[in-house]
Amino acid sequence: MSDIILHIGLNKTGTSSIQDFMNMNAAKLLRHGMCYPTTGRDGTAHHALSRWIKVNKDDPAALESEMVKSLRKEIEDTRITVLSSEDFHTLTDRGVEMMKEILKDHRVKVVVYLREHLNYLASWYQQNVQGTHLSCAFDTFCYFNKKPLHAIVERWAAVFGKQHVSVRVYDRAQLLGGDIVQDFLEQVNPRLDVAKLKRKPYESNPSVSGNLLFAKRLINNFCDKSQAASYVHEVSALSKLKPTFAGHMLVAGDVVDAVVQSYKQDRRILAHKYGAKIPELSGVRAGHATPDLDAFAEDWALIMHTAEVRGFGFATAARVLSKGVALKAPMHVPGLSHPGSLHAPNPMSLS
Amino acid sequence: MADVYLHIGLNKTGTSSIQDFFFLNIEAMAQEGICYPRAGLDGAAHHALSYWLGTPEPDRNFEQSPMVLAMRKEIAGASKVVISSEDLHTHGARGARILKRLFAGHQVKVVFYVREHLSYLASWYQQNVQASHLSCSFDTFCHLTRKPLHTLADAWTESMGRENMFLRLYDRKALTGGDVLLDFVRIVGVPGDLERFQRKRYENNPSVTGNLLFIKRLLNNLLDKATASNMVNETTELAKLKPEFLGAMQVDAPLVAYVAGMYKGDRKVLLDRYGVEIPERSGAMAGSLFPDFATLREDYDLILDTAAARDYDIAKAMRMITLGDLSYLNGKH
Repeated sequence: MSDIILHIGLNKTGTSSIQDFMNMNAAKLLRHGMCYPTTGRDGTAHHALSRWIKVNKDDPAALESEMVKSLRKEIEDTRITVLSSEDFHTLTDRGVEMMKEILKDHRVKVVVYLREHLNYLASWYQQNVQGTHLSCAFDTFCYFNKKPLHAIVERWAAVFGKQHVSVRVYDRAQLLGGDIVQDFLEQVNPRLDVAKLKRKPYESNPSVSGNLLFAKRLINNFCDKSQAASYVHEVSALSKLKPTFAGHMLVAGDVVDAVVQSYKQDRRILAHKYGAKIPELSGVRAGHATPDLDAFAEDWALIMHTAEVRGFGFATAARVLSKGVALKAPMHVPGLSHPGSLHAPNPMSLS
Repeated sequence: MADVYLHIGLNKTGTSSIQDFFFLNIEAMAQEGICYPRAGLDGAAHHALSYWLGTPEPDRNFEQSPMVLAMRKEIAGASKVVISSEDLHTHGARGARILKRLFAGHQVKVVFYVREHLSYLASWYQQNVQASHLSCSFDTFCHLTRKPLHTLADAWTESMGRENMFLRLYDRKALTGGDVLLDFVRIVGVPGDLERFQRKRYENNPSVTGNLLFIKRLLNNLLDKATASNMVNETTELAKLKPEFLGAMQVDAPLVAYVAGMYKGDRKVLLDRYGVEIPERSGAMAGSLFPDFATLREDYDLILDTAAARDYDIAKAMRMITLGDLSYLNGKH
């Protein structure tokens, strides 16, 4: 019987750092009795296992498949096993039940990292604008993506038992040593000496921000999903052009307040039932203006010139607006100074 | 004791035509014992009542609430009461409980029109792009707005009882006389034909589509909600410039299949639990291309020239964007 640590996410909570660490040190960890299975792994994480469960969750016969046999065989003689995919947290009740069946002979501890809602949504939004054809405003994104985090935790607690679910907050002040990898390993095996293991020196998922993010959002209006996704590395490279192209995005105070208010109950339940204290934000969230109207013309020129010189496909796509997006319009348009700001509690009126 | 009919939506199921009809005929209806209360009205619909449901007042001060007092006073003596707001369906179980209390002592029935998912989402999307600052693509909108209709109905069934739920499909073939108003008044029990009442003759909510809708979507990236909303009447007028600017929008077959798959379970529950059969759509949905890149530049110029000549605000916003080389978009929709 193995102790299994099931790391289910969330996305945007340093999952890549944990997965990169486990992947880089898999052989060494195995010598300490810790297995990071290759079965169900897709790159550094077990996304393939998650996808497999989603497809097969309604088929009990799938439990006899090669995938399940291979995973069970790989972990049978190990002391500790870690399975990690942020996609696990999106499994439905049936999916979670199937996961339990797959791991039925072992002791399972579910580890989930949650993040303060506004920061979580902002980071998720930035990634989606960069990596997909998402072109809505941030307030629209928040309005549609209502994701009470306690509901995710409760789905796993209902199947594995509340006492077997560890809820942590992805917040430097609350993480052991301010470090997600160190904090995670404390959950897995506190005796492990992290200093003797390899770490990636750079941040895996830098967020694109500011006028570069806004330029990508504009171009997304003309792209389908696959085309928009194909520019992700180019946009990452372009984010090094200027400090305001990477990092946090500024969020207006009214948007912050609307989000904080809509997750009030969620914070309360997480604190009372699971001891997870999510801080309550207020006021403007600091970061780069997205867009920064004063610098937009200059930034657009910088981005497009660099993209052209480097032969980026992004430059070709941007030619649809190559004659310009004059955000500092000669004629005043009321409300233009804060594109996308939230002016009503319900931005998508129903009729 | 009156029969109280709560018409709770959905949006985009001809609610305006029902509300306009009852509002126009308040006096005539009253003479037939049917009360369409002025209490809770906001325009022709009971959106103010719906708004009140979302406030803390019903929990804190129910019996003394001006809304409760006015409503109860107005419906006293009526044999039938009609309340209508498509916004009511968004309040779920809490809203249903409060309204049950408000109309305690009366027989409350809920009338809820549902619509085939794709055409519902398309119509909703078109309206939001036109009337708000929504700027995402339609496939993103479908992905983000997961709205299983049976869960909305279930929330009301829980309070009101299955026997008091009238779930109807908003589909010409399924409606009495092919007309949502006629269908609704038959449920309420208004006798005879409707010749003795006034009716609005025009369509209340024509959908904007094609490149006009795409240009509005593009501009929405640059505008806040209030500014974007102020252009709704201008875009309605501009839609008359070209037949392709008005009506349904074309939706590709893969997206149609995606949405049909997403709501497969919903269709099944609606049929099993409520007897409402929503046909499974397949193949592309016909309509204007959104966008039509082949005519985007000429449409842009047509709209801008017209809007500028009429001194519309949308012209000011359009001047912020100058289209460049569209050649790489050839063949793309």
